[in-house]
Amino acid sequence: MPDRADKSVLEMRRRSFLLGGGGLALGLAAGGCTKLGFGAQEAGPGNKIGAFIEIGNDGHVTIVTPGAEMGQGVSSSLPKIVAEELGADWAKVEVRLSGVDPAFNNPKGRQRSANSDAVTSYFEPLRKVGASAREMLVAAAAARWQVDAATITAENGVLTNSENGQELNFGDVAEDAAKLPIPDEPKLKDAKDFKLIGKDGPRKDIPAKVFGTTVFGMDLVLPDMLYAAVKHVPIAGGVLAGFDAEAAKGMPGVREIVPLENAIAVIADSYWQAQQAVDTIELKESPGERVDTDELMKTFRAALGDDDNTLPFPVGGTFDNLIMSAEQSEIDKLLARGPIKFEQEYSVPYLAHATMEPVCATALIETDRCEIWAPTQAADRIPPEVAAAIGLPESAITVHRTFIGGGFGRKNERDFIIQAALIAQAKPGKPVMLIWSRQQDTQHDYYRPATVVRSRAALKSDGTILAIHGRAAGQTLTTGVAMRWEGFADATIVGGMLLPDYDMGTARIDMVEVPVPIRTGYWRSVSLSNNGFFAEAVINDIAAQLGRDPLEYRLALLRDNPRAEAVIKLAAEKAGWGKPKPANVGRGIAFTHAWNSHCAQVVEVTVTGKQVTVNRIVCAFDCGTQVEPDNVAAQIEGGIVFGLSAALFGKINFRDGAVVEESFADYPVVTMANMPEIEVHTIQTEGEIGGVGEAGTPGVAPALTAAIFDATGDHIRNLPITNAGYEVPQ
Amino acid sequence: MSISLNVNDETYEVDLAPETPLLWAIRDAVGLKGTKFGCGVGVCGTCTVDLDGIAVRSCSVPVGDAQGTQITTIEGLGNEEAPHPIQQAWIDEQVPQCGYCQPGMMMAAFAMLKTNPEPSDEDIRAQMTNICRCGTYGRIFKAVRRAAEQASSTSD
Repeated sequence: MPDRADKSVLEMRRRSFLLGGGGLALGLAAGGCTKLGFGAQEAGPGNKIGAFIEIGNDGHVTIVTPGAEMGQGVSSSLPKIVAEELGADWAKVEVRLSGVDPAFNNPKGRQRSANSDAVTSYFEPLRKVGASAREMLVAAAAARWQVDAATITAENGVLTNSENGQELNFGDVAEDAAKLPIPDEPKLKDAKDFKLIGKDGPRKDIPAKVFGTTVFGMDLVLPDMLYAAVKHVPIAGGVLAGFDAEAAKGMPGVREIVPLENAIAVIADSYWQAQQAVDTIELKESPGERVDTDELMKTFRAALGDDDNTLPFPVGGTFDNLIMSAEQSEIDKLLARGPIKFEQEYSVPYLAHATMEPVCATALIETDRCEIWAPTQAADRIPPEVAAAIGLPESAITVHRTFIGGGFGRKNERDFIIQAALIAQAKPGKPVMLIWSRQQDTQHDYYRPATVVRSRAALKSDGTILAIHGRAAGQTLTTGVAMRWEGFADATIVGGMLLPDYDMGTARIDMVEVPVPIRTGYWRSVSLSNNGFFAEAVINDIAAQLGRDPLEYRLALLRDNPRAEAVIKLAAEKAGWGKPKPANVGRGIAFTHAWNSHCAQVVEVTVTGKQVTVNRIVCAFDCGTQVEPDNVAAQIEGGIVFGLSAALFGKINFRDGAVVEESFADYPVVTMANMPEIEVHTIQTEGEIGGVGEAGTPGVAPALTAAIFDATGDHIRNLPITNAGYEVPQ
Repeated sequence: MSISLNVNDETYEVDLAPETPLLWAIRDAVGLKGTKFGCGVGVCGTCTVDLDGIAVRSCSVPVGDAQGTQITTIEGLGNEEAPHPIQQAWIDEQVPQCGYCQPGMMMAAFAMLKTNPEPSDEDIRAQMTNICRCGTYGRIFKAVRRAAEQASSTSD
């Protein structure tokens, strides 16, 4: 039974994964946490006004971001929300990464960056943080001037007496303000008065990234620091069965050999020395099964027929009023009746995260305390999990967060952080920086799982879907909280397989789970990374079977759904859908609705023989309110490239239990050589706020395969496309 | 073994085995952290530095071979007080997301623009082979063009 903290994770994830985000407003935390961010006030150089804001006597404003900065811009967007209500001079605000503390939790009780919910979950609470601080500054000025607080305005770091024009800087009253009680229900601005939110401003983290001064996980310098490299037992699910480290012991710089449960580590004076030494260690063969991905796919396909071992999943509705899948017998009857029958199988492979920054973490162990420095998406899980691993109380663990060189879900895991702590136990009193080689990073990931899907539908000749059944077979996630309730399939595998946006008649989603010892985890867009393809490839293929234009067919299938219709039409219009094109050029379209955002993409390709060039991807995106419009576009561009890499190339192979791929050389990704033009057009539906970081990814694969079909008549139903004999310029 | 390195116009004496990759000499012995470790096998480009005018992947250059050369890292390209036009272009186009690949990316652009100050689109695609997982390539294109135009307008 999940514990209480896990339940809140379940609840939050239900909203996004369960129904593909349909209809649920993820963002606005009703009521919010008025006390959010107001921890104990500590003495410091600046005056702390709650946990988020520090204002020096010179007026220098520092705002911390609770989010994990991995490129999605939370080091700008979240502090900007505070600064808006605070009335600070944003150009002069300094931003820092916050510490790890319940004061920084989002309204669901989590301090972690995942699920595209930073802005949506923190928006209202951070407005209150800024507004409370503003009222405290105003109250301090009112006391100083002996006037009514209502006469004082705060803007650009200046407090003005609107009656006589007298001014005070924030710094002039910060010390007094910090002593005042924190207001419970501060007055928030009207959205029409926003000066910062919705306007582009340069991202705060960019200059340091351009000058090379940003501190990423490996850039830490601590006194007496040692370094560690690791070699994992190669096979999935393997354990360390023995090793020969004789050669390593005598190598330059080597200090310790540290055996772990599934790996061996070397501590040395430098990373390179540690890596050279660990490379010489021979591991004895581990017992256990040896997975092979070709065999697994056959097993998964066979499992599709296992009617006796399926787990169903809701097909729509809201969290409080779920629409359950139809029973197997009912669906079978309807499917048998047709009159037109559709049946196809699809598959997606295991995928690596392949962040530019290989996994790394630093740990310092002392008798009664432990300090961790890490690029982490899930800071709040580190104290309890490291504490359990090394046998110290949770309160003894201090976590320092660094900037992250790419997360995509990999740095949400704590395996490498716990590993660093266990290794550092061999050298108490010295910080040990653990760095994984690229090979280890590629071969010991928490992969996006492979899945096979069979989709069957009964159609009328006018295209109405009378019944539809999507069945997945594969393994579930091995990480984190199983996103499933008793008797239901794993939401992280099947969520979004059928989009409730379409009218699909009687529907069923189910899954046959196959136990597999491969470590699997959250990969940018999670269940949408596979179901974005499955759901929309099915719609495109049904349209093809019926001889219908996929754009026109989608619009016909939509239930009364203005946001979906708007993005689909906008993407099509901007892409020139329907306009004449050369015979070897193809266009495909796909739609995503998740995280309370709507996204439609048109991919255009040129296919010459077996050579595919992706010319252009045109995207229409609606996340409602945008904190930083340019950054929204950048995130969608980036999410699209991420999805394109997977659709074109992404495939992790296991042979004889071990991952074959080692680096970008054999796990290729999109580069300048094959980067298409990307256009992002946005709609800002009023009164809505949705997630951005993952939204660009799911629609690429189905739009791409549809574009190739449009150009060639060839259906690609098993990703990546380079596995179907197509080549892409590299 | 004591090896003399010239990095960003300063000389450093480093005590390292000559086969130590230049990347780790720069990061650990010299202490400049802007040059990044991405793959260690010369494929991704995050470790790119300028060595005697040529963009090299420092993970694949033994430090012993770098003795007597002039090395420029991202820190030597420019800084907050005096940004290089490439760095300014990267800021103006808001290129970085996570930022991890960008120092190497900028050093690759720096080397390319020195020998090819007016690159065509094909040139940029062919010569900028560094990998970015955040997918900032579109903005990199724009920033390279902006830096190239800047350079050609100031030299007129």
